[in-house]
Amino acid sequence: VGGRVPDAILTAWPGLRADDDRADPLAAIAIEEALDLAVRGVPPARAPGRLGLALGTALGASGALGRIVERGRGKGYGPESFQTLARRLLEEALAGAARRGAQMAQGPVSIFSVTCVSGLAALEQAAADLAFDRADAMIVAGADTLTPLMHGGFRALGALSPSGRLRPFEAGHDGIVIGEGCSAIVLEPLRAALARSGTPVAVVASQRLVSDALHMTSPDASGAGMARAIEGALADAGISPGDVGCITVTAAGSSVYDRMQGLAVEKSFGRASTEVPVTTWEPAVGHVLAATGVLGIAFAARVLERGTVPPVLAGGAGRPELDPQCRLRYVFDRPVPLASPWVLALTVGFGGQNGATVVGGAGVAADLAGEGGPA
Amino acid sequence: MIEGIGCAGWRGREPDRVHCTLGRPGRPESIIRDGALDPASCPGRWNPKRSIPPETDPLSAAAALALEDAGWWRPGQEGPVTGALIAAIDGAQLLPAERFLLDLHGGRAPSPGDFLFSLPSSPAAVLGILFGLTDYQATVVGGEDVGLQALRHAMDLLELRRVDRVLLAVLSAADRSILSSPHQWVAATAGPVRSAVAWCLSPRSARPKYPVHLDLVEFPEGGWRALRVTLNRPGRKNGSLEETLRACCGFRGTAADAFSDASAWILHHAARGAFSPGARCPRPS
Repeated sequence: VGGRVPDAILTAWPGLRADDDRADPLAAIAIEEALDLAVRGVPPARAPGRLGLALGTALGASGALGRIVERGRGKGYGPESFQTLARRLLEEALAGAARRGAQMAQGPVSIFSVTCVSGLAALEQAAADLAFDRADAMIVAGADTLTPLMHGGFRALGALSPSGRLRPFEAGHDGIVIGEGCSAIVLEPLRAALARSGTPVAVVASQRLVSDALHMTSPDASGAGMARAIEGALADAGISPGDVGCITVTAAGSSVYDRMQGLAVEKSFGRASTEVPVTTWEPAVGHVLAATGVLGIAFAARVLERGTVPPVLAGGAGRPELDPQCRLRYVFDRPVPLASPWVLALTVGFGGQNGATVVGGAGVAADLAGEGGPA
Repeated sequence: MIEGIGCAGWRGREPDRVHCTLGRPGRPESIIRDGALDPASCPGRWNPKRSIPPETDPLSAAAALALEDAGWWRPGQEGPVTGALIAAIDGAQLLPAERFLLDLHGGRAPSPGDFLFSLPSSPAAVLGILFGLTDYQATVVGGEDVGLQALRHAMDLLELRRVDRVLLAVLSAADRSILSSPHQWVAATAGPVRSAVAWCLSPRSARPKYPVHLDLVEFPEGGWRALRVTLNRPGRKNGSLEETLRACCGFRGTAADAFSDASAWILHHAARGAFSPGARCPRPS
């Protein structure tokens, strides 16, 4: 969550300096907290080096670059800063795991940058690392910090909301509100998770990432690319649109992307498109950039766990006036019951990157672990 | 399996910049002019009146050479190219980021374009539009072994059948201004250096265009990786050590180096007919 960190908190937080960017440390805290929560789910490793990290970040350690530019050039900033970020994340994760008595050392580490779907590309590599038995478990994380480069960039593009209120799907929305932070999940092979605990938090049943490849910042407004991602993900999961209990969408405050996702759902769901409840967490935390994709999976897991679809956080009470081109069943005002154990999480990224991830509840894990299910 | 290879690069500042390209004999000259890809070659989705952003240079040239070599694309093609795009970037995003921040802190209006190319994924986005690559797209970021990580990602996804085929694109950029730490060798050169390598990769097939075996050799103790390229000889699974090239990452310092070395080696042996049945085993170079 974006914001300003008081000096008192900065000086009290271990490892942070008072002269750090005011936004950067908050993200650092978020990263530490997210990983600390994630490693609570790390299973005992068979051997050292069996925990890995796959990280998605749109801009990486751009805060460090900003500070170096402010203080003068030639200080030796370089692409290793991305590696530094990954190492720091992994060290924090390992430290958290060690506090819980787990025996782990460094496994495979990789870093991906695909705008706001970065975390989902990281998920692809994490799944591969598990499939090829390079690790027992992978931490999959998305992280970005709200630095002068990031904020100034969106301002230069004219994308930021002047009101500072994120109002997805509404007729009167006025732009993006950027958040920052980290989302992290622990991924392990389904059969191993079932054998160990019997109850995984949730199952990533399938995922498709496709690119519109039409424009540097805009998507294919027809929704054709996202529809392709949705149809592929549903087919890979072996479910039909009628099986989906909830759709979560990326609602950063751009009417183009709101409408595009709506059209994509209409294309791929047909008549069912107006029946499935649709929600988003974005007005609560802002658009968290590369943390978005993994946060979508974590959010879906919570929806499945609680059995209810939470409403979109609106500025006022009740249902706001919606953009007439946003025709899905958006949930406002009060939660609705979740009617099935499947959530479809849609993630969009700058320049027409589309991600569709099917997340199943713990209750379907045993069935999926049978022949033909996801690994 | 490698189906297409293209390399492009330049060194120095204009007007003394030196360009070089490497591809299948006879092909580079027909596609690349003065080291750059003509945007008119890509009429499908790219506005031909717009020049290709210099931040993508020379990756677009390398990609065009590889795609044309593989037969996946031809100059002037309007239709999209089927396949995934996996890029590796080791520093090309830092110079526009630096320009943007200097403008921002200097009270000047920063360029939106500089922000866009501060995102490591933007060169891949340009390639996607140029060639109509509408499937999976990802950019691997990091230091000098990032190209090898991208290759591993591509090989993993091919093996798992997550993708049908992949354009692997590695772009290295180095300038003494802010990249002094990871690319110290640049300090000894006359100016900025850019190099790019693109490979078209497909699943194992009976008749690959370049019958070589790729594998990544990991050295966990030192934390580094090497790319090993081995000739696939008829009736043998792997070549002997004498037939093996080890293009070590970190050898000269950029992500593209291992790939340009390996590309030159493969193309050299292809030109000598080393992949023909009954050809004599070439010595390592």
